[in-house]
Amino acid sequence: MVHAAQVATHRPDGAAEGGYAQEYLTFTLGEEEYAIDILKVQEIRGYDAVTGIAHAPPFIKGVINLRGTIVPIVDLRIKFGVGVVEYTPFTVTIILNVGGRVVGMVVDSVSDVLALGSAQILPAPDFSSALDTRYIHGLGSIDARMLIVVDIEKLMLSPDMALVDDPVH
Amino acid sequence: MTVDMSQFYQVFFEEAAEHLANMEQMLLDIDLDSIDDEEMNAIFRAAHSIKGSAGTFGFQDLAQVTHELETLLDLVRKHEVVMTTAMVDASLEAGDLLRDLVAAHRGEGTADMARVAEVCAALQRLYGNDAVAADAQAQPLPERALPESFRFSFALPPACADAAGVIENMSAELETLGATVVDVSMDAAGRLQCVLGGAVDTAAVRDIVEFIAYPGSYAEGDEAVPAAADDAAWGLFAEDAAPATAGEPADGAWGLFAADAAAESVADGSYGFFTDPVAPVPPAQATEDDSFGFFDHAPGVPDLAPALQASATTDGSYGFFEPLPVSHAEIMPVQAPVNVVPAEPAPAAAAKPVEAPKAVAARAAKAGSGGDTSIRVGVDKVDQIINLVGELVITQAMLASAASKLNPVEFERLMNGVQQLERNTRDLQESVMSIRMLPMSTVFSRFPRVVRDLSQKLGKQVRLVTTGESTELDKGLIERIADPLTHLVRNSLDHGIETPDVREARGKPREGTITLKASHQSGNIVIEVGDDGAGLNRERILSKARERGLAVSDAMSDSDVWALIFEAGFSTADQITEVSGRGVGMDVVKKNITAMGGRVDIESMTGVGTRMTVRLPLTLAILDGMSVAVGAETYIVPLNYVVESLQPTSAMIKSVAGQPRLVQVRNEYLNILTLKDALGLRDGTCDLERGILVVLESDGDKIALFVDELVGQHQVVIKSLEANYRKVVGISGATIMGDGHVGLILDVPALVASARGTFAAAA
Repeated sequence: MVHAAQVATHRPDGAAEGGYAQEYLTFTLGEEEYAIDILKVQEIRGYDAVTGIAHAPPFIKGVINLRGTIVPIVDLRIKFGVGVVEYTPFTVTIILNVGGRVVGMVVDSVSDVLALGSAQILPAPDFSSALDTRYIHGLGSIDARMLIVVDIEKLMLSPDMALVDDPVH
Repeated sequence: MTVDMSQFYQVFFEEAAEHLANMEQMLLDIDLDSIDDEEMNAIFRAAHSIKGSAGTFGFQDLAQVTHELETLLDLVRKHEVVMTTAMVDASLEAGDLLRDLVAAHRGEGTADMARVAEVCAALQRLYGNDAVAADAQAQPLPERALPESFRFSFALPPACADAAGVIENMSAELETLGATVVDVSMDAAGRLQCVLGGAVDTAAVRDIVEFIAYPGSYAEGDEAVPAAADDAAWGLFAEDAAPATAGEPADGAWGLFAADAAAESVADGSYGFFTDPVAPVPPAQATEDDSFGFFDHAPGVPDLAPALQASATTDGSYGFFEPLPVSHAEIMPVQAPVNVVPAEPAPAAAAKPVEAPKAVAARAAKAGSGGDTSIRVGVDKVDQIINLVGELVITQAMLASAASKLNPVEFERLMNGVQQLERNTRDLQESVMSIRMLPMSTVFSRFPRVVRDLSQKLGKQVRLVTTGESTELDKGLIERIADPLTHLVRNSLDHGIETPDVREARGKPREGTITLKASHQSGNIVIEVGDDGAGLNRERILSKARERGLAVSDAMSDSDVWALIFEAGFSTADQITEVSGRGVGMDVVKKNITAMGGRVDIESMTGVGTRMTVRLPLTLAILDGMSVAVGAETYIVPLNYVVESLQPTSAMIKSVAGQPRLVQVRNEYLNILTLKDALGLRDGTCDLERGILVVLESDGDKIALFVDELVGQHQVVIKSLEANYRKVVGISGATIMGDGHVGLILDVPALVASARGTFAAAA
C-alpha cells in the first residue's frame, strides 16, 4: 500500500507557463493514460480479494473491507473495455473519495503526479466510446503523451457506474 | 483579528440542550411544598448559563427569554416569591421555547418571535405580579384582638351561576374554622351580608371569602363597598389579627415579618391559603388557585362544580392585574404605597431555620452522588474507535492463525504473547462496545413531562412509575425507540386510563398508573408500557376490523385480536382527540420496532389494564448470525429469522409442474428458495440432496432457503453497504468476517417476499 503523497511528484516547468496549475494523478489502463484530480484520491493500495455482490454489473467487482469501511470496487478496465483484465500482485486499486463516498477503482498501474495548467488541457472532441465525453474534462498533453483528464467525481456518481441509488448528474 | 464564533456554536448548542434537559428534569422533580434551595440554585444556574453563553454568541432571542426566566427563578431562589405550579408551567414552557429557538439557530425549523414575546410576557407577569403582591404585604400590620362576632360582606362574581351552592360551600369552610354562620342575607345592592359568631381569625375568614367573592368586594364590618375597596382588596392584612400559630410553616419567603415574630403565620407564600392548617382548602380549589389563573382559564372550567367555577373565577382575578373587571381606580391606591414603603430586603436566612426536614433529607441523599464524571465525545469518534478495535481483532486473528503453524515448543514465548493479545483485544472490544451503550433513563426521562402535560390536557390523574432506568441499550436504538415509546405512552394515557370519575365508579383509585419498565432478558432488552386502565375492547376491535373489511372471526384468540390494532388506519377511539384516535401511529410503532429487529406484544384484560411489551436486540451494531456458504461466498442469516435447518431427503421434496419447488417439513409444505438463484451466483450446488435447507420465518411466512452448507454461528458487527454503495435486493448489510473479508448479511424479509413471487416487483 502506497500513500498518495508518497508517489513521486514531477513538476514540469510547463506548469508555470500554463498559468493556474492543478495536480493530477495519472494512471494507465492498457496503453491509455488517464489523469484525475489528486484531491479526490484517498489512497492507493494493492488489489485484495473482493466479496461479490448479487445483481451487480460485471465491472463492479464487489466490496472490500477498508479498515472497517465497506468499499465497493469497480474495474475500469472492464468498464472501458481496455487492457487485459487480470489480477496480479502489481494490480493497483485507487481509493477515491467522491461526493462523501469512498469508492475503489482497479487500474493497471499508477504513473505519477503531474501539475497541469489550464492551458495544457485541451477540450476533447466529441467521439463515441465507452467513456462518455461528458465525463472527460479535457485532453492534457505533456510532450508526446496524451492524458485523458477525467472528471472522476462526475463519472463515479453517474448512473452509468451503478454505484449510487440516486445518481447525481 | 476577528474570531469566527461559528466554530463554537456547536458546543453552545450541545451545552444549551444539556442545560435545558437538566432544567426540565429538575422543574418536574420540584416538590412545591418543600422546595430545596440546592435544587432551585441548580435550576437558576442552568438558566443563567444559557443566558450567559447566548449573550456571548449574540443569540438575542435566547438571551431575552432566559433573562426573564432567570429573573423569575432568582426571585424564587432568594425566597422573594414562592414557586407555584403556574411558575413551573411557565418555566417549562420557556424551556420548550428555548429548545425550539436553539433548534432554529441550528437551522432546524424557524424561530417564532411571537411566542418569544408571549412567553416573556407570561414570565414577567409572574414575577412582576408576585413582586408587587409581596410589596403590598410588606406594610407593617397592626395587631388586633379577635372579635367575638364578625360581620363581613362581599359580592358574588357575575359569572357565578349557583349562588346558593357557593354560600353553602363557604359556610362549610368557615365552620372548619370554628366559626358559626349566624346569618347570610343578600342586600339591595346584591351584596351578601354575613354575620359570624364565635371567636374567629378574621384573616382566615377573609382568605376563604376572597376565594369566592367578586374581586375587591370583600369588606369587613358594615363598611360600604367604596370605602372598603382599596383597603380590603389589596391591603389584605389591614384588619389582620395575626395570631402566631405555633408550628405553622412560615417559609419566610417574603421575609416580610422577619422582625415580627407574631406575623409569621400570615407570611407564608401561599398567601395563607393552603398550607395554613387552620383553613384547609379542598385540593381542587388549591389547584385552581395555584395556577393563579394567570388569567387564561378564568372563565371557568366547564365540568367542575359550579362552586369551583366560582372560586376559579374569583381566584383568577386575585392575580391583581389584568383582564377581569377590576377597575384601575382600585389598583392605583395600592400601587402607590408600594413605592413609598419599600419592602424590607428579604433575608434568605429567615427561611433556613424553618425549612422542611424532608428537603434536608433529600439534599443529603443527593450530596452523595458526586460531581460530573463524564466527558462529552462525538459519536463519530466513538465509532472510529469501534472500527479500529474491529481491525485490531482481525489483525489479532491473523497473527493467531500464523502463530498456530509454528512449533509451540520453540516459540513458547511468542505463543504466550499471542494468547495474551487475544484476551486483551477481547476485553478491549467489550469495553469499547459498551461506550455506545446508554441507560434507558435517557429515554424515560422525557416521559414525566409527556404524562404531566397530557394528563392535564385530558383531565386525567395519572402517576408514572418507571423501573429499570439503568438498563443499557445501544445509542442508535435509544434514539429510535424514543418515538415509538412516546406513542405507546400517549396511547395508554389517552385510551387506556379512564377519567377519574369513571375510575371511581369502577372501584379503582382516581389516579391511574402508567408503568414503564426496562429489563434485560436473554440477550434482548424488554421494555414494558403498562397501564391499569380500561383494557382493550375485543368486541369493538372485531367490529371495527369487519368494518374495514379485514378477515376476522369471533373465534380468533385474544392475542390475534389485539394484533389487529397494529393494522394501518385502525382506531377504535370513539372520538378523535388531539392526542390519538386517527389510527396513524400504532402501525408506525410496529413498523419502527420491526425495523430495529424487535417486536411488540400486547396483553390486555378488560377493566384491568393493558401491557405492551417491546423486545429489542441489545444493539443495532451487533447481530447474531448464522453463516452459510454458497460456492466460495459466505452469507450471514440473522439468527432471529432462523426456525430450523435440515438436510432434505428425496422423499421430502415435492415437485410442482416438473420443478422441485416444495419441501414437506412435518405438516407443512414450504417454498424452496435457492440462494444461488436468488442472488444470481455462478457457483454452488443445485442438487437439493447435497445441501442444507434453512427454514426462515418472517412476518408469519415461512420459506426453506437452500444453501450449500452451514458454516457456523457468530456475532457479527453490522456495517452499512449503502454508505458507499447502493441498496442491493436481498442483502440488508455487510460485516467483516474473522479473516478480514466482507460477508454480506441476507435480507430475510425480502427473500421471503421473493419466494412468494413479489421479488420481481421489489427489484
